[in-house]
Amino acid sequence: MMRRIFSDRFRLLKMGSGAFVFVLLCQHARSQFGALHPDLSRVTVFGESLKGMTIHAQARLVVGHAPDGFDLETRAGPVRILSPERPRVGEFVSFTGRVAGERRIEAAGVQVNEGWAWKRAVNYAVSVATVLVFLWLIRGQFRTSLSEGLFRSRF
Amino acid sequence: MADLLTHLASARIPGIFLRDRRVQALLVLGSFLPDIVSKGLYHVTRSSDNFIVPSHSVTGLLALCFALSFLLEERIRRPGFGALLAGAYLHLAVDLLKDQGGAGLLGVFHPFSPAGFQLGLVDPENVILLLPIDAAILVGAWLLERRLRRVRQ
Repeated sequence: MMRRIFSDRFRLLKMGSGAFVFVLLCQHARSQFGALHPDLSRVTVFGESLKGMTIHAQARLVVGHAPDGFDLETRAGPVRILSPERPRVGEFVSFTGRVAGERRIEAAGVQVNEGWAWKRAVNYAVSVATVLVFLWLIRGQFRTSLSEGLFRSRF
Repeated sequence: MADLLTHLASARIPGIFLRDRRVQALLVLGSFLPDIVSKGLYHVTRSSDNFIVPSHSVTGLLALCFALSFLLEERIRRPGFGALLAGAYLHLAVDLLKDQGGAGLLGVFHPFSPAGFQLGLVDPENVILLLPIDAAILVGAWLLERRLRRVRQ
């Protein structure tokens, strides 16, 4: 059975069906998570209809302060986070909270991501270097057969 | 996302016990896969955070590794699929250690459960802290692998 599943027979069809299932899952996730945890920028327009829904956001830039919280940057303008926390303007924060109205979110937890900008840059640089060095190290293990769309073993 | 050096180090530990170096390589590539797919979709196709959830889910990775295994020639396809999937699941296990500010790693069991999980033990962005740990694991794995190879000979 397993041998038949992984055989060359209908190879492209099997590969396509795997990719198709992955895309279907992505579409499903977009609608399911979009309904459960709407994107932060949607609070700027649909705040009232999203009231009470949970929002998670990671590493968002603090752009201002207010007596009842602080403002975060989104693609559709600032959103007020109602919280006793006072991160500095220019810092990045992650948070979970509930939509309290248009452009307003009541935070349940706020995490200040100290040095996020440079740490992220280092993270990406290390990751890209790791992949490139690893691919160079394993170049002897495989050879490509582009006409067949295959990676063949060298041994 | 933890940096891919951390994922490489985590995949090298079980990789020591694999005799076939091609399968070893595929295990490591599998551990890179979730981040390569999610960052690729996010930066290249500008997909939303919700759309890329299956790149870090048990079911999504199963479908993806199945599809990618057909890029391998038939005689290494089955072990290759197993290695890719094991590496990808190892990636999820490492990501579960991260501190994601209470939200956790969302949708690990999507489409069955939308819940998020996290153990909150590691600051995923602190590469400087993780670098020496990764380096120690990689050197240790290399030494142990050399010793095992000598014993096998």
